Amino acid sequence: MKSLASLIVGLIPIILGISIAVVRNTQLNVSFEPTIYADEWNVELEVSAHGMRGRNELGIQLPTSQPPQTIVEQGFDAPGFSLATIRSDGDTVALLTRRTGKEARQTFRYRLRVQPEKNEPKKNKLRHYETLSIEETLTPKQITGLQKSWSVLKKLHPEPERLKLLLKNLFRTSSAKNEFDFPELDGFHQKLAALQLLNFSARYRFGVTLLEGQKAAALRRFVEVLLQDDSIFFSTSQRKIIPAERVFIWGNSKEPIASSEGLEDITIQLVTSAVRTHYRPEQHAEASGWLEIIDRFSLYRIPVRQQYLFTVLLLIPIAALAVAFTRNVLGLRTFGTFMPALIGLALQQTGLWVGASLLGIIITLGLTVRFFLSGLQLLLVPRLAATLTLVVMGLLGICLVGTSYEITEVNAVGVLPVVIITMVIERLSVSIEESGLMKSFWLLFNSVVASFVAFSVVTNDYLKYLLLSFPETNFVVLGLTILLGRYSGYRLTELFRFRSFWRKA
Amino acid sequence: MFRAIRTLKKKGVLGMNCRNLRYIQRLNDRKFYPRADSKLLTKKLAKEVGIAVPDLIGTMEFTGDIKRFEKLIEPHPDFVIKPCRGSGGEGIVVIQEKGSDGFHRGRGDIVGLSDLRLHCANILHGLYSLGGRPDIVVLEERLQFSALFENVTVGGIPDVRVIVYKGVPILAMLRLPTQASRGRANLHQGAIGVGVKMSTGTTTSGVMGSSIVTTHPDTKQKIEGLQLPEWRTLLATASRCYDFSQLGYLGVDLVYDKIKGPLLLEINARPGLSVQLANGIGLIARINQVEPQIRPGMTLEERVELSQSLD
Repeated sequence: MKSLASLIVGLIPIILGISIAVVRNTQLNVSFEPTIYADEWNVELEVSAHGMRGRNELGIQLPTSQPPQTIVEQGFDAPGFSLATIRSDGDTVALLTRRTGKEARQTFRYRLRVQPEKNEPKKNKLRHYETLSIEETLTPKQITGLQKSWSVLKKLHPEPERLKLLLKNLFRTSSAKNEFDFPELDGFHQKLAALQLLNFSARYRFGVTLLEGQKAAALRRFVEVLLQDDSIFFSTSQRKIIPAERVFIWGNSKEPIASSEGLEDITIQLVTSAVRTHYRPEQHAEASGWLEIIDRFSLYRIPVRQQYLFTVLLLIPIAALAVAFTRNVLGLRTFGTFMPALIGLALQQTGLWVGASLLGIIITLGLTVRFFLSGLQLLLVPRLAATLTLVVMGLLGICLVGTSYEITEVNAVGVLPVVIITMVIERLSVSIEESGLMKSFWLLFNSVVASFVAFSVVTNDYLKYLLLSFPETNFVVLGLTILLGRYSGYRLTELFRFRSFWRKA
Repeated sequence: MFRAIRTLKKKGVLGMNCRNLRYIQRLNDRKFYPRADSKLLTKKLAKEVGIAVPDLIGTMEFTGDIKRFEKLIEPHPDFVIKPCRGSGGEGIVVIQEKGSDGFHRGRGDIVGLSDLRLHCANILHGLYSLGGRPDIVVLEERLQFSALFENVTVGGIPDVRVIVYKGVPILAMLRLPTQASRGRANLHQGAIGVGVKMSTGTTTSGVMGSSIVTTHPDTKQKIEGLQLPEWRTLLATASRCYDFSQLGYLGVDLVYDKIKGPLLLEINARPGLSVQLANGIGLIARINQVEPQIRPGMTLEERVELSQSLD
């Protein structure tokens, strides 16, 4: 009876959760597929240079807020340097200076958050910036060739297809097929002149394509062509048109570095990532009645910052379910019931390898000190408090040592759960004393595996998306937990433990 | 893997999840748990119904009581320190002899008075208790174990674990301490579990860790075919633990004292599953076998009889 009752009690929230999710999906247009709406992007310029003794100076050409993107937020990270911004001829240069530089590698960061320009674009904003003399730039043969090919292309294709093909052919690689027999053009000047000849307002810009998780990107050349008041951006390196909302224009020069003094071996990297918001209110169906209740019960109703906090909070039940699974189905034994869930969550914040190595260091350190403490014969709670203090000091130490060697990853130690680590150290050391090294390391290994399971669950992007967009996922989690609570089958490790029963057979 | 699951099911092997859901949760009323979890309460209840238990030297409940430790053990050349609510044999320290150099734990392991006091403090603070709650230190007389098992035991006292289902002993094993278990009789600490025939009380083969053994690894003596003395009395004692504890699924630990015979050491509301390995018999199989024969209001005699008919 009990098992039937709990089967029903377990299934009700699962069915309820799935039903609400389906309603949300079909009636309120919330997609099951994680798509990035309402793009907002983080762009980060990282300049690394070898600073010499004496005066160090770096001038960074700053992008101005201009279509297609508006800059929402910006900031510098250049410790020890003073910042001044200089404006001239519509350009803005950030001047970072330091008077008494030591000889060391320096890293400067300039962070931006950009959004697509929402205002109506200004009419005819694009002029011929570089008015090239067509006759001086192109040969008569090239001019006639271009005009001939263009008239053929014009007859065959309508806009905007026509412009796309023109750009593709003008900026073709030498090996590519020349569909309309366009004459060979040499260099970017000739290509720009060719566009002018064919009555296009065009100019070269330098910027970056906004891509998710893009690291080590550089500024690329784009051709901006005006087509019926809209700017078309053609990437000359990728040889394709990039949608305007995915282009961030830095400026008119290839290098974002305006000047430098006392700095050598300068390297530049651009990092772009999407600021994820999955909700587009304007696309939202008008909800009324009970649909409105479901619509109101959405995490997108709360401010973005809290949304992030809630995603972490919502991950805890899933992590707990994962831990219950590792115990009751896999049969792993860990130090502390929910220790793997919390470690998994912490690793999610620090990153797997950074977090795992920091944990490894701190636990080893803690164990060493803990054995010294056991010699002092302290009472249990003061001993735990002492271990806790040492763990905190250890974390601080790692942070300071790491920072002085410019290992920025060590700053992640702040999010590690110190109380849990302390309990792990205490239990591990007691276990080593009581049951020996082998057994303790086996338990430790179990804990590591369980933490990793919790980690892989909480870092699953799709789960995160589901939890954020469909809060009713928690009903399903609850239902699954109840069902798991009635699982009376063997644990995986028990198959091994009782192997003498089935190996004989 | 599925073949393994099928075979285990067919042989009626009990898993941890199943034990918790079907037997412990259903048959062991939570309000009776203290009768098993608190060694002092077990001792008191058992004494009331006339079951022999090791004598109590004293208890220490507060950190301040530790001052009395020396005085309490003064008249005793040997004794045992136990956490009242400990589990799995953790936190138990056996002192075999008091010497001028300290307390002898056997095999040359000598500890000082301050070590023992710290150990007592650890017990009081709940280091070994279930759920980490503050605990009580129990000081007991050390048992003089029967010579019968001397050559198959190293550094400790062997005990007999009996699983009692609704008052009927269904499976038993003899647990022999080894070098590896550091004198303890707990299987997960490296002791040997030897299967025992319910009908006669003679041992079959044993398991150590996960391998089947027929001789003691340290003494090289045979462990098969040993006769457990006073087998019927022992079964009766185990069976009576159900009467005072009201726990339907119970593990009873008994020891043989040289003078007093079988003594009740402790009872366990969450007994482990290793007894199946020691006997090569699944607990579910045994329970299914015994269940139809259990009637309400069976006398002790009838229950022991039923128990001995199970092989």
